Amino acid sequence: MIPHLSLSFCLYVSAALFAIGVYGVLSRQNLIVILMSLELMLNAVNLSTIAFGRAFLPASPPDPSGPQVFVVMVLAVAAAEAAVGLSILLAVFRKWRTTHAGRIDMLKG
Amino acid sequence: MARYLFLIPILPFAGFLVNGLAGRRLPRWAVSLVGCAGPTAAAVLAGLAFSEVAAGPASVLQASLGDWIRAGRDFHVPLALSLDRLSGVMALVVTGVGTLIHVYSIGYMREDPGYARFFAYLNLFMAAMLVLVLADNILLLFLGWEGVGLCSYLLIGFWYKDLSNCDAGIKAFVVNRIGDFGFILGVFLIFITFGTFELEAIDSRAAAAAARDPLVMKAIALLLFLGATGKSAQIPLYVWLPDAMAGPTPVSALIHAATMVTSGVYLLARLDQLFLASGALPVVAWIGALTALLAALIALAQTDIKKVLAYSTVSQLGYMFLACGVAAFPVAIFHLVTHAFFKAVLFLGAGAVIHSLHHEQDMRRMGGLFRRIPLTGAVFLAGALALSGFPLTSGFFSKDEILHETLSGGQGLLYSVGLTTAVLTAFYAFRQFALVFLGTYRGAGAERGDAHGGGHGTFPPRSPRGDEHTFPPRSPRGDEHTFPPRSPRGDEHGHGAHEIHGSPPSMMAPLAVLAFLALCGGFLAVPHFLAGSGETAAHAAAGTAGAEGQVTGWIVGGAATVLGILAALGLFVWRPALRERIVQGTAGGRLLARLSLDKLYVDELYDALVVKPFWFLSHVLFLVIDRFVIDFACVRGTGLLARTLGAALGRLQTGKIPSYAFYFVGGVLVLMTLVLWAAG
Amino acid sequence: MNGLFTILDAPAAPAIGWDDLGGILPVLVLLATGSLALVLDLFLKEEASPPVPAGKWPLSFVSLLGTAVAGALLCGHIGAAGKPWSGFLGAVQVDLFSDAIGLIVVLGAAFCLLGAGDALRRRGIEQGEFHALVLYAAASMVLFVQSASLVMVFLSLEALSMAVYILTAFQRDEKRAVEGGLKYFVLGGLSSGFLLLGLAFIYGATRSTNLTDIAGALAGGQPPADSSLLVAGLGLTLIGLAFKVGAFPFHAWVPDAYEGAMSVVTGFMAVAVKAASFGVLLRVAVLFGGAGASGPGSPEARGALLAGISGLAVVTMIFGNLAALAQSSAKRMLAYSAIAHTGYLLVGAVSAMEARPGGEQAAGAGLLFYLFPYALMSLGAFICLSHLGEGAEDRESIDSLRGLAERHPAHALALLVIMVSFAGIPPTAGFWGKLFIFREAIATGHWELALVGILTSIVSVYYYLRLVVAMYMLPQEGGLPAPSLEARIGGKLALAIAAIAVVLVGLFPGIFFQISAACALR
Repeated sequence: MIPHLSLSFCLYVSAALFAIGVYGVLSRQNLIVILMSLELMLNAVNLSTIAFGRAFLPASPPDPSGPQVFVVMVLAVAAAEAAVGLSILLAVFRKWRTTHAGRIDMLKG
Repeated sequence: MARYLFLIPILPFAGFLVNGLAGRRLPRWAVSLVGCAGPTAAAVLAGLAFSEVAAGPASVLQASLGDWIRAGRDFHVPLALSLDRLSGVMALVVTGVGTLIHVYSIGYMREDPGYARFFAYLNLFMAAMLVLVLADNILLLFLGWEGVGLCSYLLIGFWYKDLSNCDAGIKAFVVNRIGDFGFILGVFLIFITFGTFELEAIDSRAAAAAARDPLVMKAIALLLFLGATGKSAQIPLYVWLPDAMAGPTPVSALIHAATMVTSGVYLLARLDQLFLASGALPVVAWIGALTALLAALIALAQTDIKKVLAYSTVSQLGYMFLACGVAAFPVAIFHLVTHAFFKAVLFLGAGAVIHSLHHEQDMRRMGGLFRRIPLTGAVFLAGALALSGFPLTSGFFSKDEILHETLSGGQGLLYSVGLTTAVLTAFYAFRQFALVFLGTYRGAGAERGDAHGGGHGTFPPRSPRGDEHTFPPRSPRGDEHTFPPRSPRGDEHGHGAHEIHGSPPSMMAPLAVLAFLALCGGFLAVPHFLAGSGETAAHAAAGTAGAEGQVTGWIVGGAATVLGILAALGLFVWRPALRERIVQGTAGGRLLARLSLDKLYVDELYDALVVKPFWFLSHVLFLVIDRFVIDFACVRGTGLLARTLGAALGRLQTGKIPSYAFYFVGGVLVLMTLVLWAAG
Repeated sequence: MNGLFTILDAPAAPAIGWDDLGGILPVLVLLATGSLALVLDLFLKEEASPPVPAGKWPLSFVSLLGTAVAGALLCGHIGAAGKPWSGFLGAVQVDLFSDAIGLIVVLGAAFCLLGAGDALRRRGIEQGEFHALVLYAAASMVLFVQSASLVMVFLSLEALSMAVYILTAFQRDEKRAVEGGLKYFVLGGLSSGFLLLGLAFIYGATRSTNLTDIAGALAGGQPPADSSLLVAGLGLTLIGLAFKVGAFPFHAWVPDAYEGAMSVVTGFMAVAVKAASFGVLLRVAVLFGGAGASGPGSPEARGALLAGISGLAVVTMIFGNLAALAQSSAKRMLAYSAIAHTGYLLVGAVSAMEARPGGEQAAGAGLLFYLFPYALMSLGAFICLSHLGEGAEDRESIDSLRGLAERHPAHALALLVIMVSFAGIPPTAGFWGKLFIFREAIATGHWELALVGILTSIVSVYYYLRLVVAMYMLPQEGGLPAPSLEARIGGKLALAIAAIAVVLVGLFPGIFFQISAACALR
């Protein structure tokens, strides 16, 4: 166990990752990169969850497995989301011939 | 039996649904069957329920389907019906007369393309009227009240292709709206004062509430009475009823004579304790008496066979309100019942005449019909006798009780108004009978065939209406009614246009039943029966005390009737020349004829006092408020503003994912700031 | 070994047993029917000739049967006034409130499936996957309102979202459909991230993943370990849920996804997704921000949630109604109207937070009441729109509705009833819904919300009646072809039921209000 890996340090890292994810969604035009950024956001949150869990460990009955289960579930969800996202992206590319987010704008107003 | 109470309105409603939805695809016999089955079954059920109530002295049948509206702790309106003696009598009249009129309509409406629609409307009317009568609370009563109003409107404009019929419908609707406005305000006040809508509870707490706050009670009573004047065609809101005759005749008989228009009387009788406690009864009495007199005066000179009956209905309703006004509520209901019988006979008889003459309604083109259609004549005679109050007919007893109660209530002036009206009633009833059934035929066939010249000269061919030609300014209207271009509907029949034929048994059988009731219905002891229910026991006791005064009343009333009848027969059958002399020779006669014919100029008065100023005002308001404030400032302004804003907001919806993501993240920042700030 | 399976090998570890499965029987029925539909589709052959009168009716039949069974189970539970039940180690909680919301979800699914036959057949994509996805989505939504743990909330939300993303883009050879699906997916992923962050914060602040435990500790006077972290977590969770219900400014996906999807799917989204999300939103709001029997558990959380939800309600009502004014497409107009209705329902959520347990007002009775007519109106409206199409196209501009009253009087009448109800004109169900919501708001002191609601409702009359005017008063435009209409018995039935129910609820609101009050959160 590394002594100086404190809760707040983990949270800062997590926040940075989350912010990078949000920035990616906002700034990138390529849909695949946007998809990656979304995954990054989820994993950033995973980091804080697991960090919280570890910090509470000494005094956290009744359910120490809570955060770990949570993280495993989120990983599964992220995988499913990637699958759904990529297939929608594929359908979009087939009809629109582009993966540029700003060009797909038939529906508006 | 209470369990089946809901079936009474539901059965006709089911008929409405079937005929309304599928009627156009059903064969005619099926429509008739469905249309008549609902009211008949309802009549049987009402009879059963009534016999159950009649057995016990004060039993009431009640049925509830739970809450209709519930809001908060204290506002809840149950969906409940109750049948006591009063509502039982009403339900019997509505279903009984209603069923007969349904049967009659099978024959009367046989050739109408809107046959199924007609029966659907009639059934809907029955359902609404039964809800009105059986309602346990005033809100449900109001539902029925509006329901019958709607049906009335629909049926007045039944032949909607003729624009004047639609106008009549609209007039009825608008005039009733004024009354309903009062009604609604009254209901609001009732809820504020009593905290309940239940009719029984309101009635029983009325005396205490009046002691507490007499002014509010007076307001409630007057507002409800305003509603009643609308629906029951009293001064000042009676003007719609004569126009309502544009509807088919069975409708006039059922809705605009026997049942719907009496619902105002029913309302007063239902809430009798409230009206007794409110101190508003003198107003009711005077309005009733004046309406009775005014309408009887107008009825004197009308030439349309149905218009006479319409004004007569207004007049008779006036009698009922007079009875209510002298606190003789059971007597009012008694007259309501007998009136339902004899007025239905008269209307249906008139309908049979109209039917026989191919939609001819002008009495000046009738005459001598007794020989051609004797059965109809006999039936009509029965109705006319009852209307006049000829001794031992139904109208005699009920009208006499009203007069008797008025006199014994110490209202001498009201009594004399009532008695005068009784003479006038007998007079116009038999003037009508004479014009239609006695003398010689003056219709279209008469011109072609027999007695061409004689019809015009010797016999009063067009009664007072003919006099119009002596007044130059009136001639344009008079010309409209000159003989040849009459009755476009009648001409459609082509070959048989001028043949006078009898009516089918489906029309004559109900007529016979009703005629019997009109003659003998007076022996039903309605007031004593109702008084036995306990509501007005004290009053009934007072009524029997003056029994020997009643005999005198009978003699006076009978004499008044006979006087009126003899005068009518004398002027219209035996001495027509005398009539001519009176009408044309004396200034008073001329004036009376003019005034009566032109309905005492009430329509013109309303036109000048209400409609014209209202038009003017609304035109000004249209220019100022509608054109400027609403159109320019509000609609154009706010509409434009709103739509510009909307369009601007729409432009935010760029369709591009990155901008949506920006909104999202921006929203996150704003909301999180708000949330953290609010958390302090 | 009495447990079905155990999470941990520790001897004292609680086990998940058959009881737990019995408790979520409606969900299982939906899942099983969905799977059955998938398998069944393998055995159904495409007919050779294109105009197949009955199509793959067994698919619709089986899936409708599944919704009927699930609905009956939920109804039975409500009718028996079942006690709250908690299972799966406290991850799932079933009570009357979740039953009522579940019932609306199942209603939405059933109507969607009833109307879907026509829409799918016309486009030549009548596949079992559609039915399966609708049923899976419905199952996840029911679980969503039943979830009592942060993990369950996230899991079921993602499960339902993914099913609905795919449903939106189901017509994958149509540009607009995939575009709508894509936008919904990307923004949905973004909001999931924020929601998950919020859930993690709540866990971090309270050291528990179980909502009931957290609320119990708060109500028991134990302050959260980190109050401001809790507030931040609640705020982020609120954002995630606000996205799902389509509240401004997290609404951007709504018009586009609603327009892109097939109309029957749009109806399903507008009703089921919104009902389920409102269920969770209300639960979270009342658990953390409710007035509480003896004061709120955490005043900061209460203040934050009140401010957040009220703020969202006001801007959503204003935005939705104004934006709907400018639309020329009936479907898009209805999408903005759905946003506006989210605003009204948020007002209901605010007043629900004021109710005290055991007090005279049940929390969220008004919201629950309005969800039912809202569901009927939306389903009816979108199903009606789905009938007005040709080939693969839905014809959805307001002008294309011109002259509908003459050609298809029954459809026009049904749509008229629904529009009148949307506008909140008596005697329709929509009137009572708005009345109850605004009355609750005034009674709990939030008269400013009611005022905004009433004013914006007045604005809304304009755009709802525009449809009516087009149908009844405007002549058909010269160039446009006559409004064609393709609907078989299922779709017509759905529309008729919706329109009649709107009137019936309008005539007898009392019964439904009593049910809503009985099912409201305690």
